[in-house]
Amino acid sequence: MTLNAVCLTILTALASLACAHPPRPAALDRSQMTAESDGAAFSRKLAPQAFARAEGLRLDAEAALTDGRQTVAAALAEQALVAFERAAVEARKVDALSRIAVAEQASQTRKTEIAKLVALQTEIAEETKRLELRVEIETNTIARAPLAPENGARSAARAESTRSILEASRILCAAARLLAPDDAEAKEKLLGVETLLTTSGSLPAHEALTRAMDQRVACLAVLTKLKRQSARTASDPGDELLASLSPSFADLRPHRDDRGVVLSARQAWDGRQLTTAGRDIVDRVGKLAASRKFPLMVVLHPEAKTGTEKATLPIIDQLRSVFPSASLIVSTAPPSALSTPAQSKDAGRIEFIFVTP
Amino acid sequence: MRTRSLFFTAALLAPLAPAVAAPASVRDQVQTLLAAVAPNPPREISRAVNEAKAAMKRADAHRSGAAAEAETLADISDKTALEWAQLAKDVGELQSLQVQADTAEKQLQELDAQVKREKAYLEETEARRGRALAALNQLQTVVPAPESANVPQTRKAGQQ
Repeated sequence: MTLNAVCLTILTALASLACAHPPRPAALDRSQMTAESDGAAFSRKLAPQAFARAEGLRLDAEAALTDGRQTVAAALAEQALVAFERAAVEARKVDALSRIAVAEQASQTRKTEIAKLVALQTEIAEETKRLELRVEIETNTIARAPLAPENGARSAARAESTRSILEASRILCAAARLLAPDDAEAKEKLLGVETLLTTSGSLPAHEALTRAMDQRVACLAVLTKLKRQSARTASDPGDELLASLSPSFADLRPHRDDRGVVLSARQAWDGRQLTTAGRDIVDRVGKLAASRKFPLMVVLHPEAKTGTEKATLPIIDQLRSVFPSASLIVSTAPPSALSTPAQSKDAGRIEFIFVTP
Repeated sequence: MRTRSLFFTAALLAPLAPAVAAPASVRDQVQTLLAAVAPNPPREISRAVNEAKAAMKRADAHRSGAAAEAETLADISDKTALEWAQLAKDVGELQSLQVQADTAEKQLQELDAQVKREKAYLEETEARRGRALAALNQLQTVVPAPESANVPQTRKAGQQ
């Protein structure tokens, strides 16, 4: 081989090297693979703007390579790779936000559903409790025993009991009316008691007694119902009243029963009018009643010897002047020959009943 | 005169030129983002921070070198550093969002369980109500009173 031939070979080789494409940067290949990967589809879908920006950088890198700016292409490809990574993170952020939104919306729906279930549960539980209570009552109610046949002494005792029960019923129904003057049921029950008080004498003793017992149950039921309806405060007003009376009215033996808070004055009247001690008691209770908002009922229990309603008229007038808005009741069941000594001693007294809800 | 005036103005503005140039601004952004990263960050964030710092070093190297397109390469490296710094921030936000999403989904699971419990409780109460109603209906069956008695009676079912 001549020298010319060697030079020609070298020149040809150099010329072919000058015309060859520069080597492709590895970062550019990686960015292209990233752009075509499965993860890219996720980024393209959830973060299209971030993905487009990364893709733009990659295309800039391809263009730089085409222009022969290899190092610039490599640097742009590196930037594109980071931008693709950011697009992937952005897509995961969108996905997380979507998870949060879906979970919160579903949680809200569940909370609404739970609130409805709880309300329904409360309603059904209350109804169930009422039904179970009724079942309990029905199960444990003792059937009323048949009354024994009538005879003279037994009839008199039944008549006495009937009167006593009706008197208690009248006071219970009157208390109910004081609590709710417009309540039709209380009005009807009171009327029923008063009618029976006047007609019981003409009925067979056993029948009158049975009806009286029914009336007492009915009056107690209506009074209890009205008390439950009006009881809205957390503390019991009756307990508060009783606690405030106990020190200053100890002589009148304050206590509670179905009707309310009761003060009981013995030897307060002599059959026709108030005694000196009685006037003092009435004045004290009058001041107390004026300072309290509870309805007041004053019940006179006459002695046997004074037993007519006419005889009590003077004292009624005296009490009316002190208690203008109170309900005044004269008991029509004075002690009789059948009364126990304790019952006889209890007659001739005045009861002041604060009807509490 | 006019030429002298232009030269004077150019001389005055010349020191301000680097302050308004883009690279300083990108650098500031990178520094601010990196400063906001909490100490001892998780591995993914730590990697992004390190990469951002490396890219800034490459940018400095390009600027101090005399290669062709050195300034262009330095700018690209700075922008790459900014991408890494923003990625660190994005990863931090992503982790926070994923914690929130997990919490929300856990709460949903608990509420689902509560719904099931409430439904079961309701079914149980409805069954109790049904039993009470049936018992009451049975108890309230009116039995005619025997003729010897003076008053009508309501007798409980099953009683003699």
